[in-house]
Amino acid sequence: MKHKILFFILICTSIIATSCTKGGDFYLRRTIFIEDENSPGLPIYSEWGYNTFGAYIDRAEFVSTDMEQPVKVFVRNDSCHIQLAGSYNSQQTTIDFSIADFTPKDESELLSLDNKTFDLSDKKLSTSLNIGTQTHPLQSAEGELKIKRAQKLFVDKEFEKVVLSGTFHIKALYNNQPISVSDGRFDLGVSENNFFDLQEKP
Amino acid sequence: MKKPTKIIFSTLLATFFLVTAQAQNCPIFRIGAEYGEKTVLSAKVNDKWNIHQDVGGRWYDYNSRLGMNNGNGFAAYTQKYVGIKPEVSLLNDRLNIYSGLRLTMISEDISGIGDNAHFYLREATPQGIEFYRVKTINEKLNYLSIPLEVSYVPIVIQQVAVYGKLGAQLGYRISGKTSLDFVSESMKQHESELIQKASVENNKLYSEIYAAIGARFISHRKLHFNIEYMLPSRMLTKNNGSVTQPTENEGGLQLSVQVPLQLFSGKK
Repeated sequence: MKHKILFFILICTSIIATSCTKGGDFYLRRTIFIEDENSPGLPIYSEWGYNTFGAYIDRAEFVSTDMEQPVKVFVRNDSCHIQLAGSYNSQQTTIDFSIADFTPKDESELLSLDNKTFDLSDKKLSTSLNIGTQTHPLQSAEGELKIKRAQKLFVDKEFEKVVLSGTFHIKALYNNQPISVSDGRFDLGVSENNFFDLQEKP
Repeated sequence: MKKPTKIIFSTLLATFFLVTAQAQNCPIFRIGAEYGEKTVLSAKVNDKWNIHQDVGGRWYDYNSRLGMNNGNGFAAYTQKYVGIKPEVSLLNDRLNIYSGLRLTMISEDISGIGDNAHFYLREATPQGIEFYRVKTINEKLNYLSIPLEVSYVPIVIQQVAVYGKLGAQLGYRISGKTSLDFVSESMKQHESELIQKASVENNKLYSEIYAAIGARFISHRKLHFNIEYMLPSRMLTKNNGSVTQPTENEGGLQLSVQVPLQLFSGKK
């Protein structure tokens, strides 16, 4: 009977220990915001997985916050969407970069984006902006999304997430009004927690 | 040479000449022991350690080096010393000159706050970003130094004297150890590699100048029991610690006891 109890405790401990590591290191999901002295209100450009992004929409800052998940990557309708969520003029705001004909199965496949530049005049990339309750595609857009670095992040020699770091700038029409998104930068971690494969299975 | 340094060295030099001039008077020789501690309010992390999360000063600082609202640890610096202290007293025990041998022990820490807390030591590699979960980075350094001090007693009330002291010391590092305490024991094998990659170096020499005010109890056999408040000292050497550096220093405390040599010889 004693052996059975001990065995049961051992099994439970193993399950708990395994489940604790499954979601990844909690502290690495947090945001580390270091202000760029040259771009007040925006985070510095970095490649350490600080979970931040920022840009000026016209003259106001659009930045990641401590509360919201700054990035979600989801695959749907044969496109990969990189959605950045933050705050602009005290309103919840998201910007969506949609890369056509790119359907990664998991976050590891995002490594193929390393050192890739997408020109907005090329139909392969489309963008939309959601400010508050208004969602509009960014029309007649020019600009680029540059993923300078896509790399793996390991914690204690175990794979944790993929870090995407880069820059972006856009000039477009938003709800028929010209808008400029400038000085955009991001340093974001993508793991199984914020990668979604929503592709319909045949 | 900066002004306080000039003042201290001038004082010590003047004392030397005074001792020479007073050589014909009967000085009292004593031998003693001392213990001292420096109080460091806050310390900053050496930038050469590539730490991912904010490790602020000893009192949690939201706006410190690595950013906002992510302080996950603190940096500490402590300094203690013990020594043997020969002394010569002149001018009817008003002027006291000390030297001796002193062992200064410095301990620096970067550690997470709370039980099971950790921070990340990181490095960029061709394969990606490597993070190591670390509970503590600790360094212990021991310096053997020769102090030279002079104190003057302006006030004596019965058996209690009040005095001021100036001093300087020069030391050499006799031992030192830097260690990392990992969350995962299996990472211990990377300790030497990470310490080497930090490229941190400690100065083998240690030198500082300092001042103190003290109170002395004088026994009927002319034993001295001293307690001193050490004013914040000025370091003359740099890089005496590769993990943290003190940023706010409140001085320290020293206790010592000095015994006249004639007591050992049985003379009264």
